[in-house]
Amino acid sequence: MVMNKLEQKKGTKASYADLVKEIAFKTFETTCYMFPLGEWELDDSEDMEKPDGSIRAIVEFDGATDGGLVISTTPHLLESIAANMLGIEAPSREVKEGALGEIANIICGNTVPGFAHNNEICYIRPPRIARESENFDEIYIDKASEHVEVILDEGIAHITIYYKAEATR
Amino acid sequence: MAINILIVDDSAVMRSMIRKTIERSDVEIGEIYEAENGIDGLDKLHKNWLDLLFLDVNMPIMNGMEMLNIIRNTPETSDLPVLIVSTESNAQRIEMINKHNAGFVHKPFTPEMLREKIMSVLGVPQ
Repeated sequence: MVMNKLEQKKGTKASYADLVKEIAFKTFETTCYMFPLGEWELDDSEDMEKPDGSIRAIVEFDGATDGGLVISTTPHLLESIAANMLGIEAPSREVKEGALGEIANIICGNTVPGFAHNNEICYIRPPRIARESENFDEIYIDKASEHVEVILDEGIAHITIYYKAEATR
Repeated sequence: MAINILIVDDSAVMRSMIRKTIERSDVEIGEIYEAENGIDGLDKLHKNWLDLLFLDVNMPIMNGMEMLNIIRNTPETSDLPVLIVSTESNAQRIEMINKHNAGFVHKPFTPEMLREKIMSVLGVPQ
């Protein structure tokens, strides 16, 4: 279980980023049939398109710890996420946004409990699409953060999680 | 035996994803109905013959635990097999779900995982 690993590795900053990435890979693999690039392919990934942040989904959380998880993808990856999750071709913008929100929800729901201690409860809020004007580095200026780049065979996703650092002690 | 299923989730995308995963799981399906909250779900439940309920926890208007309480306290539906679908991993909350005699599907899930949970909650030997 991912959560057990989180409990074991809790407390080191590097391991949080690793575990967000691990949970993200598992989520993309299970729900969208997408896989991480092999090590021998990563050199080529430098030429891959990067997310421009034009579509971002955020899931906010509170309770034992509070903050938010933000995810953005390239347009091609977003299209593939929705198509693979739902088995449809040419998904609408609404469906693509909904699919990105659910991916964010699953990654956040699996990650955040590991940031709280003593098995205290975290409340995960419904995912939503971020407004263009929302600058989360400013909104969460008092929070710790981890940023990970998830390189998949269908494209690249960027994930940032902001959290109250003292909740991890 | 084909089973009739109700999926209650406020996210249309998640309802579609659960439906698609059920279809990929090789479970013999009759009808699949959908509802977007507990009130809507209870209405569908009373209008249709159902064998299994997939239930989200966090929903507006009436959440999943409120709906489950009503189902368990209504003689006609008290034995309905229910699978709660959530990212939840808090032990206390999972214990609460178990006390309501409901199964638990942890997101993310594969068709194989879903099939195993469906068979288990329906009491079908595998």
